[in-house]
Amino acid sequence: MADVSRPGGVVVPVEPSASLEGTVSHAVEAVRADALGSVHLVRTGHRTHDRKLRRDRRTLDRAEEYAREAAGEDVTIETALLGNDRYMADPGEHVDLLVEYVHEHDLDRIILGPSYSVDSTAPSLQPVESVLSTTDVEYERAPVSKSAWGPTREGLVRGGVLFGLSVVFYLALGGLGSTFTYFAAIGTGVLVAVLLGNVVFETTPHLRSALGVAGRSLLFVPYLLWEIAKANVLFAYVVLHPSLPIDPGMDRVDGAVSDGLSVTSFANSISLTPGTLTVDAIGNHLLVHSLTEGARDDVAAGVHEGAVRFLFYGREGLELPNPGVRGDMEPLSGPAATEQTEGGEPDD
Amino acid sequence: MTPTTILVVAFVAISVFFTFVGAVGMLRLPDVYTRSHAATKADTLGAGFAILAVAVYFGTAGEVIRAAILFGFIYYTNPTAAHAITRAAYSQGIEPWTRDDSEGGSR
Repeated sequence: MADVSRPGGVVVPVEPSASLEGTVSHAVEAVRADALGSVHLVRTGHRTHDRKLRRDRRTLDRAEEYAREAAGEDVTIETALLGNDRYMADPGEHVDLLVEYVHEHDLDRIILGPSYSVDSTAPSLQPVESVLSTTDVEYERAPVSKSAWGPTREGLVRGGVLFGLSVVFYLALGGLGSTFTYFAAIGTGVLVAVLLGNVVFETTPHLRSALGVAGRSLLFVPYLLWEIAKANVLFAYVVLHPSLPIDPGMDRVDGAVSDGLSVTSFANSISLTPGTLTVDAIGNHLLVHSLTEGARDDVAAGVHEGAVRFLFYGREGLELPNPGVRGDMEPLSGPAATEQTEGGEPDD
Repeated sequence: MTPTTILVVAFVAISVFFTFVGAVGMLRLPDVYTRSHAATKADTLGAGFAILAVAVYFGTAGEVIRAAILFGFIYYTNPTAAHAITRAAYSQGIEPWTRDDSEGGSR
């Protein structure tokens, strides 16, 4: 037929799960039942490196295949990767993307897989529904069984990694040697994994990227310690100097980092180095208080941001110009802000 | 004195120095934001060197690991405390002190 698109349709945010096929074919059925035109398969998320892009592409391709099998010729299938042009630190921002997409393409509703959760937050922390219900867009969960009530692969990975970490932590504190310690370690490990498996990880850990981050942290941590030491000496100089040569100011800094963990690392490394302090963080917009001009220049020069981007995104992460050059740093109070308002009062 | 003792004393001395700087900063700096720089950050090196001294003094693998974990916790919680204090101050609408304020005569 291919009489090209009756108006309207549904959008399905896809994720790599066992219920993907069921969800997609349900969406196709729903579109057919309501005599709508198209099924849009989308994957939200900022692709910080090529590997992630390939992974998302693969998921989307798989979903598209399922959809084409189910669709025949009367339903149009569209796919899209959303969110590649912005940094997202908050699961709500993924939902914003979906809602925007719905409005832009004039679609009817969102269909979620039975276990769909924004891959930036643990499912039990902030269900997607709670964010979606504050918007004007309709949504439904596809009535597909998520392969009985068994644990998902993601759940197993999260639980397993957490179990391993807690056992190692227990043994590091308790020492090796007695049979009792080993049993106690395994016991607490199981307990922690079961209770906290859904809370601890923001995204399901991937072996390769986890190893990459662990490896690069061998460079990152000494670098940060060195910066801390250097800045501490300067701080001591400023504080002990008779005339107290400080020149504090407040800046807004937009970190070029996505997802909570890297934003937190960025904010924390700013806070850890004396002279700068993260006062507030909304998404990847940080409010940074700095004690001296030099400390501000460090932030603008990407001393912290570059390091954090290297830690999480590898060498590709270093290619971005620093926040000062990008214009992602804006003075709110202090000397720079006063200059901007041409010698007047610092604006608030 | 053995080399170990000298090293331990040196680390403790550095630790005391930075903690002292923190205390001085607490008294001399003008407002809540600048003071929390002093209150929370000098600790990173101050406590860090104290823990280093402990690790060197005891020297066994178990103690070193525990000291490292302890440092890890300070490393993570320190910025959180500073952040909590200044964020509260900021949401209360407390204006950050700037160079201009000092020309009015107040400290």
